[in-house]
Amino acid sequence: MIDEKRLYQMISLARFENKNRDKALRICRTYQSDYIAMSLLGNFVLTTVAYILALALFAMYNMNFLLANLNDLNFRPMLAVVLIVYLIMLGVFSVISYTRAKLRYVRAQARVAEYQRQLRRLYKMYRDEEQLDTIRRNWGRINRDE
Amino acid sequence: MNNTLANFREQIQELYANYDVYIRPLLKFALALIIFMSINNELGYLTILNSLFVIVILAVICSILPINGTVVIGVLLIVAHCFGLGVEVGGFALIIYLIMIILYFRFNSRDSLILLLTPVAFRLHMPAAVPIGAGLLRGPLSTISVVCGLISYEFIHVVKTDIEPMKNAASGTSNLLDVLEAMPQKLLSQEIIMQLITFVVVMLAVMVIRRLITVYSWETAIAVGTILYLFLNIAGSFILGTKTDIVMLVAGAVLSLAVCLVLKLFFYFPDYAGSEYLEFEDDKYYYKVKVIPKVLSRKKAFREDEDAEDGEGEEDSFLDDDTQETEDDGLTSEDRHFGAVRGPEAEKTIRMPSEEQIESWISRENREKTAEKKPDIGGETIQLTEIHKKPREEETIDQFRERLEASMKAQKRKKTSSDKNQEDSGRD
Repeated sequence: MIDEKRLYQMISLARFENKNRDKALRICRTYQSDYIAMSLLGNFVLTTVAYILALALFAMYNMNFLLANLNDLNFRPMLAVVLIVYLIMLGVFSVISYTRAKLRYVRAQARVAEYQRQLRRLYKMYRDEEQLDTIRRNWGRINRDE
Repeated sequence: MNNTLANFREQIQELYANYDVYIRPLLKFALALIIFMSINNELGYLTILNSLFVIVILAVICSILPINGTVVIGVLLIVAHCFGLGVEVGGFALIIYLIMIILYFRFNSRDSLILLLTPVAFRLHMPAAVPIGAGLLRGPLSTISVVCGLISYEFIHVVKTDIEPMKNAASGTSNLLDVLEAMPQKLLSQEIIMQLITFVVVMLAVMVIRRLITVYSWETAIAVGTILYLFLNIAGSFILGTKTDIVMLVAGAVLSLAVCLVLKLFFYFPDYAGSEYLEFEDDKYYYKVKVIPKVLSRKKAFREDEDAEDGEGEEDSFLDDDTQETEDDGLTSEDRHFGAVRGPEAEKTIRMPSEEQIESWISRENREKTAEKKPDIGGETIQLTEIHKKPREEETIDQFRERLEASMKAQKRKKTSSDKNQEDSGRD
């Protein structure tokens, strides 16, 4: 006969694995520092791309002015402003990425810890059933001997 | 009226719960179809994508992908149509959407559907539904999502009303630089900024009012949001000197109000008549709590009242004799305890119990150390042997429960009689 309690425990564990295969379980396979480092690296690339695109939009908006004054433009202060804004933007988004990655990791860790606790509980159920089977077998043998 | 709506809501929820395997892909298909068709009607510059067959295929693909898949395909569709109009227009569209996705939606992908729902809402003449709905269901950060959605719609509108005539001008050749310059300038025009301010103010106002601890906060928020939207639009058109179709504006606002009231029915349905105001304190804080019950359908409420009749809590249900059949669907209380719902074809459909239910059941039955957590009966603790605590191979859960209860009662009687004997011998 199927043990319903154990069955439901297995079902809930399977549901967790199904739902979190690409999320919490995947996140917890790496160290926290590595996960945060990967997020920051990705953030660096994406923020740089977004900044370049935003610069392009800005240039499009002021295209007439830029083309009319191309010969008279002072590039050094312009470049300095572009770099400073880039660094500020990168800093802000790095902080957001770091915070998000850390919170995600900590929450994933807590969920995986609960999952492992439930897994140990399932293991205990199997162990209890083995012990009970042993008791029943011994009980039968004792009764027969008597 | 409340009970009718509650019954209706519960029927919809049960229908969804029973058939969600079919309903969810169908809803995603319908949503994707509506979004793609409205994009095609607005833009439609790439003729190959205007075919209904292509749209249906894309919608079928979206029905099996997550919701963000629909957003990605919708954005690609918009960009593709813009490339159909001109390379510079398509490039500009790609830049705009990439910036929005990289800078915001990669952190908050839950709201990405607003990018496509806003153009659909404008097309269906109920634009106010977007900021009011977002104010009801989302937090303050979603203001950025609403702004992005509005920019997405305004870009499509600018392409249709300003850029397309420039590209199709009578002269035949359009200046690439003129088009490149015109796009961002049209997108940052005064009317669009006014519309942005309107959306943000409406959304924030709805959110603030909705969170107030008063009765009818949601209804008030919806009404105030609608009125504020109308007022700001009319005031904006006066200030900027633009023409506005007041009739369409009011009709759209009323339609948006109706949609938001339907949203409220499914997301927040309290029974204000049963609300209570509680005040209590502990060592650290004073608590002032307003408790507003949800409106339950009469059947559900009656069932809950039955359970609570004897003053027993939910935790005692393990030892209760609740194996009697209930009415209607032939499911026992034990089945309901495991979350069973009568399916239409199968005799019994077991829905997965919540983790709290499993936890409470397991912790009660599979205790290793009886010293710490012993089952009690009548306030006394009884020592049980290992054999008593586990079901035998051939017995059902009910038989195990009966056997356990019988052995606990027998031990209690034994203990009472031994105590009595001790008392009598002591007296003697």
